[in-house]
Amino acid sequence: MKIKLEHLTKKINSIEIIKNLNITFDSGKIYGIVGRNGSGKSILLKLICSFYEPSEGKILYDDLDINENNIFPPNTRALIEKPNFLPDLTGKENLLLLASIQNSISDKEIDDVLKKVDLYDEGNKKYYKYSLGMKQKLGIAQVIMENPKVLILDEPFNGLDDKSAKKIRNLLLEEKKKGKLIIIATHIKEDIDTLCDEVYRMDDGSLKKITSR
Amino acid sequence: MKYIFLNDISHIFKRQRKIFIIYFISIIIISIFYSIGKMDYKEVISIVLGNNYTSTSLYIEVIMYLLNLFICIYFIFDIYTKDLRYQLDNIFLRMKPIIWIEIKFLSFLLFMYIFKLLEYFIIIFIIFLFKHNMDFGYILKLFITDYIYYIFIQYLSLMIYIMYFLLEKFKIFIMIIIFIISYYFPKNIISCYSSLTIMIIVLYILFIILKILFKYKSKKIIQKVGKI
Repeated sequence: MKIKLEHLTKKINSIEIIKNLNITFDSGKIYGIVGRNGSGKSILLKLICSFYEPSEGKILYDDLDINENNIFPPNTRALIEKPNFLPDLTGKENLLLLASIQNSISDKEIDDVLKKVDLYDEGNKKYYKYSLGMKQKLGIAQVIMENPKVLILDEPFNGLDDKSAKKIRNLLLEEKKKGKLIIIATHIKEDIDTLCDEVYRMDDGSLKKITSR
Repeated sequence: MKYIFLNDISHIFKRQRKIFIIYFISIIIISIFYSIGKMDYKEVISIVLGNNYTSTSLYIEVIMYLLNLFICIYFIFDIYTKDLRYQLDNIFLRMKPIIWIEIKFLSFLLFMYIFKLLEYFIIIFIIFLFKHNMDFGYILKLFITDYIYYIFIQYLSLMIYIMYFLLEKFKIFIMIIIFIISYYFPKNIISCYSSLTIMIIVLYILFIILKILFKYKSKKIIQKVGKI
């Protein structure tokens, strides 16, 4: 899978939030986007997920223009802003319910993903009893559970303690080895320094490459 | 279907609990107050639900009609926009917008059915405590008319709401349409029984238009109506 942004521009109320971005994201790599709050990172992720229509330019998924075809990106899962689950269901029930939309994975696969994010023991606890970090881990679990080719994560380390953050970093590296394309946005560069193949800084709607491996 | 329906129910009972409680307390109080008197059970139902609005109606009847109208329109806006605001990554990366609109329609019909059933059950139960001579055939007819009337109004309002955001340049024109519809739309629900077939046909047409809009303009709708 390859995602190509061509002259991508987004204006909101005549203000250019994203300015003429040209960049290609390849599978088997992790891309980091850092920038202060309000720099346009989340809007860029929403554009990539096609929740926003670009004002100018294109977003191509393997040469398929998702906006021209009025479709949402195939084989993509995202966690943008805060995770959204039903408070009265357990973590596992929430994942089962989400998985029921496409009916593509089994109960055992959900147990496996809960183990991967270190939530298996808390899987039967009601979501409203979860801490911020546990909610975040469940959000990451819903992103990876259906084995998508593209993972888009907005501030995935929010609320995670050091041990959990390390676990999630390792998990994302495993996903990368499977050939996934991962895009992470964060305002703390140190969170993704050791993780990403390429890191871009978002400033005033433009992207500048700051690290490459 | 399961995901959408449970999500809607959870949202309403968790986030809109206060509105629910206030509404049900008010219908309970009004039902008890008017059942105690000598009024016929049909008149009590009309007052509590505001479904027999005429130029000579009591103030309370008009207030109850407006309250019902407000709650029903609020529910449909809230239930639809919350998916377009907070559930984007969960829903639209997993299902096509046209599938979502179909499931949402069924889920909303089911939700409103449960809501109206609960409302009628409470009112009829209270009235029955005071007045035993009730024609349940009449109540069933009233229930069906009431349910279809509000579903129709809800989808008409949703359609106008979406068009208002999609056709920004024609906002004034849409405001005029809203005014005309509000003025001429029948407000006496009981008298709408004879027009149920027409309402169902128009409702189906509205649903088809919604499907077409979501097929071709889903992203614009998400952006404008969801205000992400």
